[in-house]
Amino acid sequence: MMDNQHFDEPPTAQLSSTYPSAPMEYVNMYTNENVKSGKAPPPPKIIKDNYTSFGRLIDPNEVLIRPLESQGIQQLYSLQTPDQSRPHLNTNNYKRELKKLNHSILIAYLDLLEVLVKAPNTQIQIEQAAPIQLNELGEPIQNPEPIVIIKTLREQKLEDLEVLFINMHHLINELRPHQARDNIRCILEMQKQQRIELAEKFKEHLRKIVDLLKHCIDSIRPEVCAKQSTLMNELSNLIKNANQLTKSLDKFSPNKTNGYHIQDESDIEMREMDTERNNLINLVNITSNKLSQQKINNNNNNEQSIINNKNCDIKDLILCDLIDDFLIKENEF
Amino acid sequence: MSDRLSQLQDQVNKLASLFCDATGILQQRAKPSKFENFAESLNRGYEDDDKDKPVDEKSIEDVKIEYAKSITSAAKRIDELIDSLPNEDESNEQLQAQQLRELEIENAIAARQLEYVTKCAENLLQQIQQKISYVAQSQLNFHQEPKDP
Repeated sequence: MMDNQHFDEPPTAQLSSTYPSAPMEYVNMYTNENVKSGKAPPPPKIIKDNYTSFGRLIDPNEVLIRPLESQGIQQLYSLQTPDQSRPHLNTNNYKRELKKLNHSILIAYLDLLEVLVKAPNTQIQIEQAAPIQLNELGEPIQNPEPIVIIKTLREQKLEDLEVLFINMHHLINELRPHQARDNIRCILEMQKQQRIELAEKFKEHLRKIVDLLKHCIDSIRPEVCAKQSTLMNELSNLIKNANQLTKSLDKFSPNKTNGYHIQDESDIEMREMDTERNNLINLVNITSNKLSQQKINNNNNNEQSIINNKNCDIKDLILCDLIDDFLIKENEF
Repeated sequence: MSDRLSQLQDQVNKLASLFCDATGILQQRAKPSKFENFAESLNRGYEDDDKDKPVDEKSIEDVKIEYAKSITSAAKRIDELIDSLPNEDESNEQLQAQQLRELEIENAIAARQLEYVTKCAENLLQQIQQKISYVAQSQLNFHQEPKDP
């Protein structure tokens, strides 16, 4: 079945990837739209029963580290708490047990050496409880005969040493889950620290930017106001001049000049004056337009939307609102 | 540098191999013992062999002491490593689980804070960009206008 799938795939996929590519009928279901609208199939549920992985049967409910006795090796340490309520390792005095094992190993080695020196071929008899046997009815046989094993003392000591070493390694391995949890804790701690540091740095930069902007606004404002007031002065001067001119022009209006000039000449003169007056008025208008344009530009330069005369209310500014908002919320944190 | 538990296991293995080596050395350098009622018949002078190598005797002694020293130091090192393991009250499983949960929450808070600051900065950036484009536009307008009349 697997082979068929492989054959269906284009040969390039096989060449480029170590693993077979994912089944496309599933991959196609997980488009962005599908995921957004919830149409994509949910991930499969966690398997709670036994399952096989790489040909090995795996029981998820199994304890991570099987006790030594289940492997037919005598367990030499006891990690039971006095109250027996929490049989697990972590509340227990594994340090003491480890040390005891370490010292036992040394002593066992010394024993072995002594045996080797003094009596390498001494034989001892060991009585071992027989494994429980069943009779024909399937019941355990009561009081089976103990098995007597004869070995040399040397062999016995070597076996002791072996069991001690196995126990030591097993006890150390029992600490592995605890170590793994501690590792996760360290990693999380580091991540947290990193995030906090990053946020702090970012905040610092933001504060600097805000300060800079405020500084800019402050430094721009007097300039703009000064510029504006000079322009206003110019404008008022111009208007004054223009008014004076119009007044003086009015003196030469047709009604008043009618009496003492020749009609044609006075007409020409009056027309000239009229155009002059109109020109002046135009000039005034242009200037005032320019001034207002200038004003708008100044406003923009200042990153302010409104400057009313010299009363520039910072609170009105969107930017400053934002800055305030930021500062307030920052304090909340 | 491996973790402490691996170090401890390595040290235990080292102790075991030291045992093997030490026993081997002892066996290798041991004086051959006489078989009862047998050595005489062979007529081999074991003592003569010993006299041939007087310098070797000292080096054997040295090697023995060296091995005894390394075995004790390995055992001592194991004890030290055991001492360096975390204490019982620190290693409670429930406590660890609780710590992990707390850390997760703290992590989430830190992440949200970071997100918030980023959002603030993005807002500010957008505002500034808007203003700058505004300024640039009006600058352009202002410079163009005098040519118009």
